[in-house]
Amino acid sequence: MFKKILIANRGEIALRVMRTCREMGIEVVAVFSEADRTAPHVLFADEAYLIGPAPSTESYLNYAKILSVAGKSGAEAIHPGYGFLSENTDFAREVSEAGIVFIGPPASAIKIMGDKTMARQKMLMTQVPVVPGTEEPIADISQALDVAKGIGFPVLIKAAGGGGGKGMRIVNAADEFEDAVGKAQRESQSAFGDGRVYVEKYLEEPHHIEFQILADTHGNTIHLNERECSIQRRYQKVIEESPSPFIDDELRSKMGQAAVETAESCNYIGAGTVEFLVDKHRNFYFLEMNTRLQVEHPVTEMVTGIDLVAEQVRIASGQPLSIKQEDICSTGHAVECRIYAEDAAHDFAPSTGEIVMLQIPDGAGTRFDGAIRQGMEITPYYDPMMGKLICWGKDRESALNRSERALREFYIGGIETTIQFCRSVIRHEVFRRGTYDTHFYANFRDELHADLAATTDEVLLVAGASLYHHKNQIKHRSNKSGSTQKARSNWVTTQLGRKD
Amino acid sequence: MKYEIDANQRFLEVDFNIDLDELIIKSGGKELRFQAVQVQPGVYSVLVNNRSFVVGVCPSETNRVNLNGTPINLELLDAVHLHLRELGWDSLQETKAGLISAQIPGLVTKIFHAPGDEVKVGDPLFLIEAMKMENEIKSPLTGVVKNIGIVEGQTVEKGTNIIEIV
Repeated sequence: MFKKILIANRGEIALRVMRTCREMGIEVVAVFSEADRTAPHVLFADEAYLIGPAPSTESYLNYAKILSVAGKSGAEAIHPGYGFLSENTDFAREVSEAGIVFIGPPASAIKIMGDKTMARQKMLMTQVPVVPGTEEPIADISQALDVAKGIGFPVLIKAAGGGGGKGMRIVNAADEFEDAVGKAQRESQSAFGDGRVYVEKYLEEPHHIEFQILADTHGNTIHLNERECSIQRRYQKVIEESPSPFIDDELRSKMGQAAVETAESCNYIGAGTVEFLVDKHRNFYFLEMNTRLQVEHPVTEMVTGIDLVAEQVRIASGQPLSIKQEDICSTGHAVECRIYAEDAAHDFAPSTGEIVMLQIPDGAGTRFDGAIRQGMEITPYYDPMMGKLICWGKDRESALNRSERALREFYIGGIETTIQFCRSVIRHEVFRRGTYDTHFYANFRDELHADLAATTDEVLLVAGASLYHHKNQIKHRSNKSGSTQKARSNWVTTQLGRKD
Repeated sequence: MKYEIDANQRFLEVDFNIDLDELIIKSGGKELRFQAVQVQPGVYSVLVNNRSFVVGVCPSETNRVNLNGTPINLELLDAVHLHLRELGWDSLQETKAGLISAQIPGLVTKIFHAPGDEVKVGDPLFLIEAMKMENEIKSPLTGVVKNIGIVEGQTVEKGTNIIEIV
């Protein structure tokens, strides 16, 4: 087993990986940018190395620097987390060539599956169904437009080199096509350093359902059931759950087998995720394979009891999987809410600033994977996701009740967050019934936002009185300075706070 | 002290009176007894007729409180404000009509207009890239572009004036 691992990432995922490593008795090395000197992953690590200025192209994407830190620190392996260099073939190859273990699949598998066009071509050779679309990235705009017309609008433009909704655009009509391709290309270039995009059919009432895969170097490939990820906005997931309320055991087993076949088709090693779109007739199509740990992996961990990072590390060190397919048993239900620094009321615009106040929920079945603390600055340099709240319950209803309870405890003051938005989704009757698809947000947008704004007179009065009380206290405090005598009002005693 | 609560154009008249360590809230013929104890800076335990609330007031957000996990936007208008409004002068809505500023810090990657261009409500004005996403800022007004304060490729802070429309 490794003695020291470098984590080539920041934020909640760096912390998530470091926690498991420490539990396994492995030392952890952090890398950080100038903006992240006091970021939580730096504080947690055994060693930490500055790798460059704040922009990620000069720090977290600078693999020459990261490799030199690996050499200097004596790390035997590199865990890339998700995003940044996790799906970069060149990085994976250079790590291996430097004699360091890349905790992830072989570069060849990343190359096939990380490139959605190549992945499609690969899948066309298997029994796994794929969504109709272009075979090649868009080179010629008028040719691509012909293909789009052939498939029929609406079509989806997607980045060939990335994921997470970046570089993705839906196009409803031919006259919007060229403009949308340009936007997708620019966004994709800036997010992944790769401006290639392609076109595919946009399915009606689709569910986004993905399967977790684990494969070792001894020829074993298993799946750990599904995650339902249909609650999205701007093609980015906000809430995920497992099991999916939409699929039954028969479909689960069919899709699980397809996921295993997908992984085997590219000789996959490590943890990966096979994403499918499932239409309302329960036809499923291969969407893409993410050759890394997913943001939402804790949902699977909560229902299967398996630490996916620990499995990744074991696989990378050459050990066989600790579990067989028939040992996989999902217990209860898990729901993840992503907490973004975004203003839900203003089209999820990123929100930056200082976290002035923070209260993180706890209690039974409540897990928060995050990397925030009071006084910390949320900068515009990196992804706006601050963490994930994952709640487990013995069944779907109790997991949802628990999520709602925990979200109510959650308080991040000073910036806008998606906490309240997640609450209004979880309260929504269609979500509660489990009959939602990926259009949930578009369909119920107004209801969700109305719910966000709904209050009673009593609540407004309490809120108003609190504001009045707070402003009075500040006034008292500033009036008090220079005076030797305490004001006699009882307001002053309350401002001092409880002593217990 | 008489106040008016303005929560997104929903108005509530209220009278606050201090009674020892309580605040008596009178509104619409109802009376509530409010008691707040600060548990950490800006966070209060509030009991209102024995119902328990946790209320956060952030120093950077003067017109918002977080009440049992729910953010509530509201303004507290005192007698002076109310009087000024009766005179037709709304001090709270200082108009900066025509000046479009960056709502988020980021990199302006594209400006769609030049001075002299006519724009309508909803027309794209510029693209700003923040947190790896490209955000299209649309015009809130109809008019003519008078001034452009920055150039493409410039990094801007929140609040930087970008385009003036008259």
